[in-house]
Amino acid sequence: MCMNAQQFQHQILCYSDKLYRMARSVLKDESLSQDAYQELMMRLWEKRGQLEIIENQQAFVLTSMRNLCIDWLRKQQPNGEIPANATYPAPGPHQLTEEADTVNTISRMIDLLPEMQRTIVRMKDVEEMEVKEIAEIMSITENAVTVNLSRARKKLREMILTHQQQEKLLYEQHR
Amino acid sequence: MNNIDNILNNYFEGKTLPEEESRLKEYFRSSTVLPQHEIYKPLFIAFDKEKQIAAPVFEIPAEKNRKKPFPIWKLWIAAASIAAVTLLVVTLFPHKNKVGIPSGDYLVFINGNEVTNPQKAQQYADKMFMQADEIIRTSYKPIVEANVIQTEMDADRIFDDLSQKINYIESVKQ
Repeated sequence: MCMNAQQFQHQILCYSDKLYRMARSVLKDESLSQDAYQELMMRLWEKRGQLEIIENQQAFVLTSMRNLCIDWLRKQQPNGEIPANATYPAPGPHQLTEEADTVNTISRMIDLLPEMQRTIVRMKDVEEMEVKEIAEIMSITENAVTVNLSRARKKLREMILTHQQQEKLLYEQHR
Repeated sequence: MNNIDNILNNYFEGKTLPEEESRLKEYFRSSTVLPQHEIYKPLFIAFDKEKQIAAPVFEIPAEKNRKKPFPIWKLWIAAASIAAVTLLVVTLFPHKNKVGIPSGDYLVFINGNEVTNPQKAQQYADKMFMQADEIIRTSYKPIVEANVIQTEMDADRIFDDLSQKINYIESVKQ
């Protein structure tokens, strides 16, 4: 039986925020993420007849969102995105005054991580999902999730410490 | 607070349990964060802040009135009905040759007598049709005549004619 609007609302649209945040994490562009989200929702609505038989709908829709975003990313950047070994660039004095909100700085740091690492760290720390769920969505083993999570958090710690040192240095220079 | 340091270290190693992570988050949300831990506070606040990001509204398209597919069992019933009617027609109306005379044995009853010759039966039928035609024609003639009389005796028309004549006479007199 085909899912009606009310069922779609209850069973699929309840993951809207998670899906949109997933799109933002992968694409790192608000406008593009909105388009990707709308595109996925439209596709899901059109294929709603097949959604009933899916056992884990959350995993399915999140995997679909990620795959769609990666496809879009590949079309935009055929050579791939930021390399996995990218380091956090030292902030200039202008940036420091602009980025008084250190919370935004942290979000920028997470965005500098490779796609898999930043998606995993957000699923774990923002969405508070279990390693098993993340493994299913990312189509990798639980061990691979743990390894990527560990690498991502270590890099974040490094970036936070580097940022703090840069801030101290700039503060002393301008005293 | 050594405990927090340990959990924090384990967190960055990716070795924390879900309960420990919850505890860490609660700690950084509180106002009792120690100065040496302040550096990590924005990280946990950022996670909370990102969780508040909401999706744009998705308008569910209006559902089209999809025509339900014709059930297979109904198709079978329709096909069976057509087959039954065809069989009935073939049985009740046997195939005739080009001159309209059945190809098998021929037998009709005329005035209680059996007639097996098709030509004779045809001649008799033609004669009967001619007689019927004559009867209809002669019966219809009085009706036509009666219609003519009825038209001539039409009261409205007679009164109209009379009123015209009176008007004419009056106009002449004046």
